[in-house]
Amino acid sequence: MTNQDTSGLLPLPVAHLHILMALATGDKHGYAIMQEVEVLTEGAVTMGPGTLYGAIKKMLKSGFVEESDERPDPALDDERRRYYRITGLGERVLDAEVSRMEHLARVARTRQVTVTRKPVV
Amino acid sequence: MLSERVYRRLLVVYPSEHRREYGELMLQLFRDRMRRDGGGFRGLVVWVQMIVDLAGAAFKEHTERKEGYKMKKRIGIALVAVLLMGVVGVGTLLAQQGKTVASVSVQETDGEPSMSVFWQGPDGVAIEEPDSAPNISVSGADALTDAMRQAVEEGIFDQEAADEIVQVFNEQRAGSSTEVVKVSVRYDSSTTFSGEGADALLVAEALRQAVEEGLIAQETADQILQSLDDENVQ
Repeated sequence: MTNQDTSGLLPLPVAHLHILMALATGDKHGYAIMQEVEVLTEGAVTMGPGTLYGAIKKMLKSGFVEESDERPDPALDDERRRYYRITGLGERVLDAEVSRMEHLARVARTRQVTVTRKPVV
Repeated sequence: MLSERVYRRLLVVYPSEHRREYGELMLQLFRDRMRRDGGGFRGLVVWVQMIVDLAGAAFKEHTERKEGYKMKKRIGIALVAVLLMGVVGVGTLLAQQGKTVASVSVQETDGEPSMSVFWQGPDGVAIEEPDSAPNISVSGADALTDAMRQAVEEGIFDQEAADEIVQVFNEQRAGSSTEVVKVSVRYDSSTTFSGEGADALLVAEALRQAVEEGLIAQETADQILQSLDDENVQ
């Protein structure tokens, strides 16, 4: 699937985007994903268990992520944890989504789009 | 830990399938989070976040599940309608040949609705046991044609008989009426309803029985009958 073909899968839900970004740097289990998303968003987003596993379930189905058999940190590993890995399709979708957002930001800057708030009466 | 026990109990708000697959993982994440942020006022804030997360995610899971179910139900209803029409034709010809339709079932295989047909002889004994009987499973709009093609390949019918069955089916669709010996329709793996008699009465009787036994809603039965009427008009 080319980048152009991934356009039908965009825009990604924010939770999906955050998880794919977290997995782009390596396989992770749920808690590690949550921590990485906190770092990526500078503490603005802390994903709850329901949101995180709801998103993972959908992305497993879409083929954006897959379960990983490798245990990246055997010494500290808990057998009950499941690790997830971004797939080739997931990487392309992430790339396409970032490009889409960059383009959007560029257009907004070019056209000097600003948000004017109405004064609260 | 009390909070963990409470959260485990709260997981009941998710659909059971989702809970089975992700319940322990969600609980593990809750445990990790409480270990890190669980003390004092911050712990209270985490609890509020957890409740909001749980309510939102569970609502989403239920909504999506319901939409999926509705879609499958619609496909199921359409297939049952086609199936009943097919049974009328198949049953007629088999009756002429001294055989009857023993069982027709609609079920899900790999998420797709499918149809199975079993035959039995005039003495009421199945040609073969159900497990090894000529069990033709097909799906989609061309279900009957596919079933007949497979039946020919399996040596259950010769090509001529299969062609006749399809022809009778098409005549039935055109609105002619022929008696059917017996039919039973299984809507899923555990639900069976059946009826005997002439074709028009057969469908109505089977559906009436299914509604009476609470297997399907009156509305569903009406939809099936309406679909059959529509088919007959076309």
